Amino acid sequence: MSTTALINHYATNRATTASAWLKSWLLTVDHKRIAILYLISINVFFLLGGLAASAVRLELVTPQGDLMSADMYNRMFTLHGVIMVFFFLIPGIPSVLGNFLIPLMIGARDLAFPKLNLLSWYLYMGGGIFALCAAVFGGVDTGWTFYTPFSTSYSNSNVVLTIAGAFVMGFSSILTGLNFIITIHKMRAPGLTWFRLPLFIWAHYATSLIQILATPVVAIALLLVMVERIWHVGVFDPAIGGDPVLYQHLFWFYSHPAVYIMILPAMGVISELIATFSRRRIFGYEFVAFSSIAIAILGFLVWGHHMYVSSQSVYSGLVFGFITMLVAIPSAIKVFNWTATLYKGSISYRTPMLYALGFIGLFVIGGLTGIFLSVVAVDIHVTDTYFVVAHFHYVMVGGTMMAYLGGIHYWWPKMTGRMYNEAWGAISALVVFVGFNLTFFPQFVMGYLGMPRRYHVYPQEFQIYHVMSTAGSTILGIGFMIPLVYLLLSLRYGRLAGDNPWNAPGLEWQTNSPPPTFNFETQPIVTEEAYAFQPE
Amino acid sequence: MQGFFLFPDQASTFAGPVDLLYFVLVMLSLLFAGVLPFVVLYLVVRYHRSQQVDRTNPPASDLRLELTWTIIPLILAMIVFFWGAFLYVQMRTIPTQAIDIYVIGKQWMWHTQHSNGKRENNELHVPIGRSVRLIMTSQDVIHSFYVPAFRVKQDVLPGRYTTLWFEATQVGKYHLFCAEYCGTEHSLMGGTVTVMSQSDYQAWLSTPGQVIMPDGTIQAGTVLVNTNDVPSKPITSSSLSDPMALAGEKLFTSLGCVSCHVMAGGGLGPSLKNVFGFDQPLADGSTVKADENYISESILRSTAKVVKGYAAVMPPYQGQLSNDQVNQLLAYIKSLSTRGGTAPSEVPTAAAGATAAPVAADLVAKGKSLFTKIGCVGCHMDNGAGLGPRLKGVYNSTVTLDDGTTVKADEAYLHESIVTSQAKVVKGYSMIMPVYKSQLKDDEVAALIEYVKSLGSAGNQP
Repeated sequence: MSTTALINHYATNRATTASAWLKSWLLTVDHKRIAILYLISINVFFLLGGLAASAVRLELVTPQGDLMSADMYNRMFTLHGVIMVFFFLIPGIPSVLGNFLIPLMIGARDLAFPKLNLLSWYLYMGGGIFALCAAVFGGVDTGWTFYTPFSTSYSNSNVVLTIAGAFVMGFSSILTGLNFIITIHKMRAPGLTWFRLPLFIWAHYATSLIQILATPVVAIALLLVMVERIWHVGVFDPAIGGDPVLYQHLFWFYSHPAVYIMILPAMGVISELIATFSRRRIFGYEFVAFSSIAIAILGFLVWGHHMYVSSQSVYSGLVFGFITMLVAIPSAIKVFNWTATLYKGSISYRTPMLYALGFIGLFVIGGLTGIFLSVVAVDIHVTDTYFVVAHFHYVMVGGTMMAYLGGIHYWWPKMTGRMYNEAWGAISALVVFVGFNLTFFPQFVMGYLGMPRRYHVYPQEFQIYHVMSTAGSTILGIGFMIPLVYLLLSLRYGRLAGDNPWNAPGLEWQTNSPPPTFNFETQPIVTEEAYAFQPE
Repeated sequence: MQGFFLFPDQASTFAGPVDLLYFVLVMLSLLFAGVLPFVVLYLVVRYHRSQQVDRTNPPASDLRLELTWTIIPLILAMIVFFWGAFLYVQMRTIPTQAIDIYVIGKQWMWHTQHSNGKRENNELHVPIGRSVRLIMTSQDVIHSFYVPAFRVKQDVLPGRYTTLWFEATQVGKYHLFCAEYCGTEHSLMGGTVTVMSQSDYQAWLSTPGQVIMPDGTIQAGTVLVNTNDVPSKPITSSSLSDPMALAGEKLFTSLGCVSCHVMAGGGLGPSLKNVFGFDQPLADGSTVKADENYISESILRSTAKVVKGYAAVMPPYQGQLSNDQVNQLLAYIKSLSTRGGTAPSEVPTAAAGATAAPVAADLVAKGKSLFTKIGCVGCHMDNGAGLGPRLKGVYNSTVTLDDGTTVKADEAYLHESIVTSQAKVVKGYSMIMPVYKSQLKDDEVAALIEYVKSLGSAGNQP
């Protein structure tokens, strides 16, 4: 074939000229095309965020500030945080994989509100452009957390522009969540009862609940920061009558659940991967499904664990610590059930499965160190140090990023109609796993030794850990580049995948690869539970 | 580059218990993170699709198994949680015998002030084996006071006080960090905490250094010492022997607070005796505990929480006092309460006492400046409209007292009226003047008397 399958399929059924082709993408209401728009834009943001991270890691090779000024360093880690959190991790899996797969998995023609879905992408891009403008016009130096009164009264950087970006992006998140909830409630194929749904759908349902309930709170908090910064209305700055800790409550009331917006869809992806490559129904399906809901609910009650040392009372510290400890239980349930799924399975070591196994290893470490942090006495020592940095990277990169890459590999043949190179896939999974651990494991050690986060220069004794970390991040960066190359090459040179390369029973595999505009030739009717694998 | 370590220095009473708990957590984690990967590896190898193994009747779910791996982790989690909670409550329960040290954070510096007025920048000297309480606030953004070797950390907030305590166990120098991102030079906002033996600490306290004066200025190369008799043994509550409290009292007088906050009661503002540490009834019927936050709020935004029975007439001092000055007032107000903070032991008096006492050539000039400085002028107004009688021409005049008797205002009477002010109050005035007996030295009283004399005597007004 002279052209790629992706372009071939998505291009030929409507457009003949270049402008018509562009229009067919930018004005599309097809959830699959919107998912691909997200895929491209989210990966561009990921690369930018990754570049900022590289700058940070390079600066930290030596204890002195020699590569860049303190202001530049502060702008770099802020850029890294803002982009990765608001423009990669939060929208990542739901917008790309959720968008593409939810209608396919439940046997629907599209999401409930296709135009709203396109609007979500434009809001996402609008927010992203605000944030990038802020970076281009001089950057922002508040950290992605925008703590007051630094952000409202003291920072001399583009706080308003960046916050406007996150604010606008928030609406994209809310609309996507709304769309998913209604789609999952109203558009399931005949016979597809709640307990026949793939766990991917359960995870996205729980995620969407958080998105529509928590995002408005951070929108208000960010709006108030803008109001105080522009008009000096005293909300957070005590010098003009505000309360600086109020901001932290509002911010973490969203931003802690936001962590579950990042990890729950990842858990959904992992459930799919493990089921397919073990050729077994997920062990304890109901427990895994309800543990997602339990995490979503408990996630709303633990925001205070970011604030143990911020003047919180002893009693609130104890209550938040206790509830935080409870979050560990549904997370542990998932891990144990995934492991039990392997028992009597028929396992194949394909790239998505390698990523899934890597996810389990890294998520276990991320989760266990979360227990360290909910033991309040230990948290007092390690909060705001590299221990916390390592912990949330294990959860977000080790968890969400591994699941995202695993999911992209798994559904790549469905999305593009082409197979990627399996050998390179295995190599990339291994390189990412090794590079990741080398980057972030030393950070646990230096965090416990007392290395504070967001430090441009640091005492000599921490250098050895920083050097290890930077070396690891180089490997990790290469690990992320390898898939970018072979996945793009596969669009042209990959062999045709066929409709169901994994021989999986999910509805998404029962249609063409890539699927036609309205997904299914005939309305599918479901008569079995999910994961009804045929014996080989 | 230095070597690879797993634990930081242990230099406080918290370090050991926190490290033990951390070590147990690491071991429990290894139990899961060390075993689980091998279980996974075993399963993925044994059940690889190429293996001919029994795959019949795979279990779909197993309630007993689910309950097992729910309940066992739950129990373990609760054990470590309550262990940590117990330790956390200890870390937040401040011993009553702690030494108070005031800390002010600002972009990008730490100021610390010891109770004798000695001030440090980016340094903190503490004695070994004594509980130290840090009373902290910020001038600008949020900072966080972090000493890894002590395993303590506490955010330092603008417009509010937070506290932190520790007891150092190991002599040495340790890192002091700012742990909450605070702007450009965040990573340079730190320094050292020096733990010294108790005798070294006493010696260090009495060496001249920077001192904050009552007017908020900083003087280098001097040391404030006690201006009145100090017990040479440790004292259990902060008192006027503590120069920082004394500085606060001077400020209290010079700002004129004293004219309303009459310690004997009856003033326009409440007496401040035994206020700190006690619950205060408010106008709306609620009560509030008078801690550092309440007192400083009542100074800076005075109308926010007015004590029941008083009108909101006090001017707000927001923007007029530095953090240092508010801290001095706090130290003074604490010294008036039996529940005040505690002072370090044995503030040395001898060495610098002589150097600090100014030798006044002109007693009248000294008296005049004292008269203004301690705030006499606020009540004893020239136009006669003050809370106290006008003093022009008083000397040697005949004064009518409350009970109708008269007395000649000679030096003895003036002395008595200053030192035990409420003994013989002039008719028409109430007994609101504070007693200066323990607060003024003899030569200061003499200077004041000379000044009053200089205002003219009966029939001989200048």
